[in-house]
Amino acid sequence: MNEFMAVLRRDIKLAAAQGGGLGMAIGFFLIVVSLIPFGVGPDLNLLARVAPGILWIALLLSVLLSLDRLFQADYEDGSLEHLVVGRAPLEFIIVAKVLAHWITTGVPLIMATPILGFFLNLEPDAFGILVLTMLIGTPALNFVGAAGAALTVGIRRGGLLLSLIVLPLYVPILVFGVSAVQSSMLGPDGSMQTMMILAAFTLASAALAPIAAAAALRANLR
Amino acid sequence: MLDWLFGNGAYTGFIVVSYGLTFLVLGVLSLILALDLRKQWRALRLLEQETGRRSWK
Amino acid sequence: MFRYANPTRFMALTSVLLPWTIALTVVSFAAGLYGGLFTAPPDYQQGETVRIMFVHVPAAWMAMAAYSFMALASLVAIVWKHPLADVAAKSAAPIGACFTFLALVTGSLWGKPMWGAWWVWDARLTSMLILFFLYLGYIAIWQTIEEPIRAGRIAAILAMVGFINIPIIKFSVEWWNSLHQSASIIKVGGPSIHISILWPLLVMITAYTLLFAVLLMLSMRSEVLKRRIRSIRIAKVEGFG
Repeated sequence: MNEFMAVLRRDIKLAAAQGGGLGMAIGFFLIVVSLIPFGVGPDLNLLARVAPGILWIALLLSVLLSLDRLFQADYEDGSLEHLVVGRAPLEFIIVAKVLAHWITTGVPLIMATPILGFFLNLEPDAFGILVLTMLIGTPALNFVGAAGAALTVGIRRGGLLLSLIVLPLYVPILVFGVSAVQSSMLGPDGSMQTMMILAAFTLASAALAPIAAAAALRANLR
Repeated sequence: MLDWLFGNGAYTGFIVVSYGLTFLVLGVLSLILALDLRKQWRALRLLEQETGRRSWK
Repeated sequence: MFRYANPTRFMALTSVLLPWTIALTVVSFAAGLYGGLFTAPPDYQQGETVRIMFVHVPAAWMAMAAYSFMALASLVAIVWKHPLADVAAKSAAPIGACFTFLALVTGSLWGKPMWGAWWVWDARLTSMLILFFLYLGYIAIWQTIEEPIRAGRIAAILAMVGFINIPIIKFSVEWWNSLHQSASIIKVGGPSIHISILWPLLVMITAYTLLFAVLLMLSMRSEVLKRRIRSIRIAKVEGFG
């Protein structure tokens, strides 16, 4: 447990000290969302209809973009090898790293979402539910993405390979994340069931993805 | 010609293209794999002559 | 099963099996095509286009079966460090991707007269598309990582992660599809499928499975030879160096 907290604190501190990565992720999020009206036209009704989907896709891409930093820096300076051969189980270390990554990139991105919601004429009722589904669903993006990042750590042009591997696995999270928001627009409690499924995804990925990620790190660092 | 193939009620064109494409792709794949196998055999034989090792007949 | 673990035994076994399997494949393709194109009656709803089913359904079946085979071989490769399992998984991927591609294209060609559009975001077509992406990611791993042992490990983990995800993706796509549209989706097959259509379909599925076995053997033989060549080269360099 001590190692868990130590890794968590270290990663948060490192991210806070560097800062650049987070700023870029938010900037990317902002730009992708502002490109959409140029693509589909400024019709407010249309934008309101597609807003939840656009915001989810933009968030997903921003998370994807930040994933290669999860293990790459530690791989380059050699500290990843210490974590792999260290006493603490690698799976727990990975959970700590993913949590730190989620706190330092996922949460700020979600906090930026309501502002972008105004750009897309998102219905006022949907704001709360959108942020809630994102809070429930994004850890799954980070956990699944961590497995992909572990598979591609230390590979030349790993970023492209990472997106090819991870994006198909994001389909279920996207489907349930967006449909929770859309069903809340139709009725008050239509989204409860969808949220439960989304929460189940997050828990399942938190349980399984670290195992795959640990196996991949061991294979890559042998 | 195209109109007749794709426009008639029997949809002959769709059937012809589906079957044609299926066997084209499967044929090309088989050919590529068979040629690759032959290439590897030749490379192995050549290497065996050079080094005097024997592996498989 | 592990008696054939040894590559030498594998080469000997497949060189005997291969001609027979090829002969069986040709015979069952001939029978299946005859049945599908000549004896099967046109469907009362779909007319002659139902004949596309005889190349579409087996391709879709093989797309799934090849991925399952790949995941199983990967499991064996990881757990028992079996050298041939690695080769089997690697060889199955491009063949499976070809079957998936064919399932997508024939599905689209079947969809055009039935749905009036080349592509419909139907649950089955969509999950097939995602399966195709999973194959591409797997093949990309083998092409990017140069050392065979590391590539094998990484690819095996990816194959198993993908395999666990396939049912989840299928479930979510069906959910998504029922949420958005329930337009003219035709139901193929079902329990009331007539025997005159069923037997050519089963024969075609057998033919496709046999063809997969033939292609897999060819591809695995090349891969075994490639690794043999590699090890001779390394031995040669070390011997002189």
